[in-house]
Amino acid sequence: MEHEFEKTIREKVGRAEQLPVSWNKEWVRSSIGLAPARKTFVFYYAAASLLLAAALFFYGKEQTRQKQLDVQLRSIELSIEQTKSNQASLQLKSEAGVQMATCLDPTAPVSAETTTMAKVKRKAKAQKVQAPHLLIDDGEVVQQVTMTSTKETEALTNLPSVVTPPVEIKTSTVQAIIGGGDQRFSSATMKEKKFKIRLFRVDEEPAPGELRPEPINFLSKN
Amino acid sequence: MFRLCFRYLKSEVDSEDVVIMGFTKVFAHISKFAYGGDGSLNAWMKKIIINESLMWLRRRHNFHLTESLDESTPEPELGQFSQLEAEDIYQFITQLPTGYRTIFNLSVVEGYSHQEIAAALNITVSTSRTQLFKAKAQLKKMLTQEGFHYGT
Repeated sequence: MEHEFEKTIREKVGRAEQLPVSWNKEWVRSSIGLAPARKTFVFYYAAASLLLAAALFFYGKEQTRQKQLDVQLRSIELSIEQTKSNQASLQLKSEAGVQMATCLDPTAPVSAETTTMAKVKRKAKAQKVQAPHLLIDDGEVVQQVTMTSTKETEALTNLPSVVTPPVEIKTSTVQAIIGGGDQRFSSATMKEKKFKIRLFRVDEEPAPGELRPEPINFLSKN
Repeated sequence: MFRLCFRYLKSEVDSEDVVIMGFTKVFAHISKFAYGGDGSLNAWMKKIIINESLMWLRRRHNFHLTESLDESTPEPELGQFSQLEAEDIYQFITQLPTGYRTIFNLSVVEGYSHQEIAAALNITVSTSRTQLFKAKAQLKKMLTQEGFHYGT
C-alpha cells in the first residue's frame, strides 16, 4: 500500500517535471547580451573614480609636505643669517680690541681710573663672549644654543699689544739770502748751511737789443 | 531539470544557478558516462543535478535538527495525497520546510533509502526517519486544511 502510494507520487511528479517550462526567448537573449556590457561600464567608472580619489589624496598630501618644507627652510635661513651677523659682530669687536691695544703707549704713566676702567671692560667682553644665544628651528622643536668662546676667539682677544717706537724728527734749517749783499740770517740751531737763495733785481730798463739777465737765480751748495 | 531543482530549492534564481553548474559538470564529465539503455542519460543527469542541489542546500541549511520521535506514534496515511493532480502534488511539496522537503523528495519521490539519505546529507538515519515522519504529518495537515479529509 505504502509502496504504491510512493510509486504514484513519483510518476505524477516525474510527469509534471517532463513538461517544458515556458520562457521568453527574446527577453533571455537581450538580458544575456546587455548584462556584460553594463558590468564592464560599471567597472570602468569605479576604477576611474578610485584613481581620481587616489590622485587627489596624494596631491593634497604632497602640497602639505611642500608647505612644511618651505617653513623649515625659512627658519633655517633665518638662523644662518643670525649666526653670520653674530660672527661678524664678534670679529668687529675683536679687531676693535686689537686696535685699542696698539694705540696704547706702554711707556705712558697709567692712572688708577684707567686701570679700573680696563678691568671693567675686560669683564664685559668676557660676558659678551659667553652671552650670545641662537634660536635654531630643528624641525618642530626650537633649541636654544649658547655660543661659547673658542680658542680662536680667545687668541684674537688676548693678542699682545704692539708698541711702535717714537719716531725721531730731524730738523733742517734753510738759509735764505735775499738781495745782492752779504747779509746772512741764520738761526741759533743751524750748524750747516745747505741752501742759498739769491734774488737779483734789476731796476734799470735794459736797452733794446740787450739780453735780459735772469730775474731770479737759485743756487744750491749741496 | 529546472523543475527538479525548483522542487528542492524553492527559488527560481537559485534553481537557474544550480542548473547551469549541473550542466557544466555534465559536459565536463560526459566522457565518464556509460550508456546503459534508454533513459540512462536522463537518470545520470538527474543524479548530477540532485547532487548539485543538495550541495547548494548543505551550504545554506542545517540538517542536523535532532527531534525526538515517539516510535509508537502511527505513521500518517497519505493515500488521498496520491490521488491529487501532479501540479497540486508539486505545489504541496514546495510548501514544506527545507529539511522536511529535502528528505521527502529524496525518500518518496526519488526512492532513496534512509541510509543513502543519511550519507548524502551527512546526518544520522534516525534524523532522516524523523524528518520524513514530520514531513508526512505536515502534508496531512495541509491536506486537511485544504478540505481533503481521509476516509470521507
